[in-house]
Amino acid sequence: MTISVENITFAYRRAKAVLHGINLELKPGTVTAIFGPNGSGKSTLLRCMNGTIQPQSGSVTIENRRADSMSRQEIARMIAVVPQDTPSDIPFTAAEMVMLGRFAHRTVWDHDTAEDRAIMTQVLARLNASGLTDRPYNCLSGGERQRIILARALAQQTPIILFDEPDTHLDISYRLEFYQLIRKLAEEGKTILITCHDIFLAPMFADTAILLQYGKIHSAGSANSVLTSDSIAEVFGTSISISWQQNSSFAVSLA
Amino acid sequence: MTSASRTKWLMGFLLTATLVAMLISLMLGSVAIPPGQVLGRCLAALKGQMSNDAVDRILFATRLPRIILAAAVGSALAMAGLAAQTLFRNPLASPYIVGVSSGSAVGAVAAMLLVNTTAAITFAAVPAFSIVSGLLVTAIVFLLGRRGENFGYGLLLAGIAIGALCSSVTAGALYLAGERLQNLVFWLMGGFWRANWYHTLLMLPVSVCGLITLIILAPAMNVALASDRSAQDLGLNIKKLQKLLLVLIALETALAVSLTGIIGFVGLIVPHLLRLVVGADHNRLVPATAIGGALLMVLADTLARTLAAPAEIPVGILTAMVGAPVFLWLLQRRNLGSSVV
Repeated sequence: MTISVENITFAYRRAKAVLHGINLELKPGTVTAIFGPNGSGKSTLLRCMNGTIQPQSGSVTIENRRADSMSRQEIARMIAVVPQDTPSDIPFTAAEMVMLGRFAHRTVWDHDTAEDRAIMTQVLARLNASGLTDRPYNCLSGGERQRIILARALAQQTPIILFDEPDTHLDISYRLEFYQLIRKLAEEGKTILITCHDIFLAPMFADTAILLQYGKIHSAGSANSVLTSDSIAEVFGTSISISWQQNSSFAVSLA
Repeated sequence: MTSASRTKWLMGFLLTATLVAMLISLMLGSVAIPPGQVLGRCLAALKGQMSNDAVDRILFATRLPRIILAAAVGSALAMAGLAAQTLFRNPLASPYIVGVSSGSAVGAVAAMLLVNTTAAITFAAVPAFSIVSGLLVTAIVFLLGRRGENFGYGLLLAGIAIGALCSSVTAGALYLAGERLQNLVFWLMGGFWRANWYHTLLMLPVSVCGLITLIILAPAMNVALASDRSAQDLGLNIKKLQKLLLVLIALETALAVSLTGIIGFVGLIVPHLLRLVVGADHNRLVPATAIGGALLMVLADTLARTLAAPAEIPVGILTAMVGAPVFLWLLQRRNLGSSVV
């Protein structure tokens, strides 16, 4: 499913726009990674894309339908979001937490069906989290909680998944596992967008990289053309030397 | 035992206990009626054979409406409490937090002080004034608190401020009440001594409608616990749910308070207590809370009218006396940790 953003501008307060004239199009089967400093508008862009905030101008279109003409439930059947932070004190078990992902598919008279539970079990198994099923969510470690939130998004069974800095609480092995999963999801035909700070590992798994600065797209394209020593210096104000090796990984040294 | 089968056991236990408590309550009072006679009269009444003697009048004109009213009010307050705890994502929320009770109290006190005619008119005026002022105050709290992205937080602060303002008005009225002070204080403590079939037939449908609404909203209430932002991501129109819950809290609480005064503790503790037993899933918690509230209130009211008979103890004193030990026992038994709302 294709999602396109056309010329959107968004401001929380009138005087200061957080996003200026952003255009992008995400195709099925691709991973797009957005990089940028803190406060550059990455999370705001994600929230505009799934319609939880409305841009002052421009539009978001999901498979030829405008997002602002759809209900929350309709959007949640097309777009799942893995948020940056989820409160840790939610009193559910891991299984109940994942079942929340099925909410968008419910009707008034038909919820918690056998199919919903089968999807929950299947998703937890896929993420090697079956052992967490009956554990209270608020007793899990940061990494385990992140896994459950990811399971919740997968249980939504949407063609589009937006990840908002999902790698924050993950150590290097989980991180790799996570990026491989994202790649796998894209191969299954899902449209993936991820915002992150990890300019070292994430680019290896992304088809397109976008660099955001002050709410504008600084540059977009393949990771090796976007994440260069010059652009990093310009956007992050820090000087590191990046050299790409065979388009897939790169070495970094302090300049 | 799985949580599903535990829930079934608990529901069965709560329902049976409530029915037994109602039967016992029918037996007790200034005239004790033996259980066999109570059952016989109830069965006869179900067949439409009323003898209209003193026993029938005690059972069906005095005790039964009062017991059903107690069950309906207990259920309504407990459900409103659960709705408030979910709305604010705060286990310390009670149905009184949005200012309904303090608003209702202002209306009731005003009616008692201003409508200075016959007792019969005061009896009708107090609930009328009280429900109108309770709803009005909730509407004001809503209008003041709804701005900003965090609806619950604004509402909570506006509710506390307006509640405090109303309480000071009530306190001022009490100060000026003179010889009518005792009446006012007794009303404020809450009780079912004014109960009649009209009150019961007014309250019961509201409680039942509240229960049906919350059963339908249960999956949405689960999602609402996940944070405002996540709830929206998961497909819930959170603002709409919050408004619905607020209306439900206001209607159930304002009507309950206008008929029976301010009965504390039930709305705060019953949902909390049952969450310890059945977990936080509203699909289980809503029906358990509705029955649990009814049970606690029937027990408390039975004690209220029998412990110091023929005098009445305000039921609000007893809801805490019955509920708090059970709650503390559960709290000790379960290592609670942070598993509250």
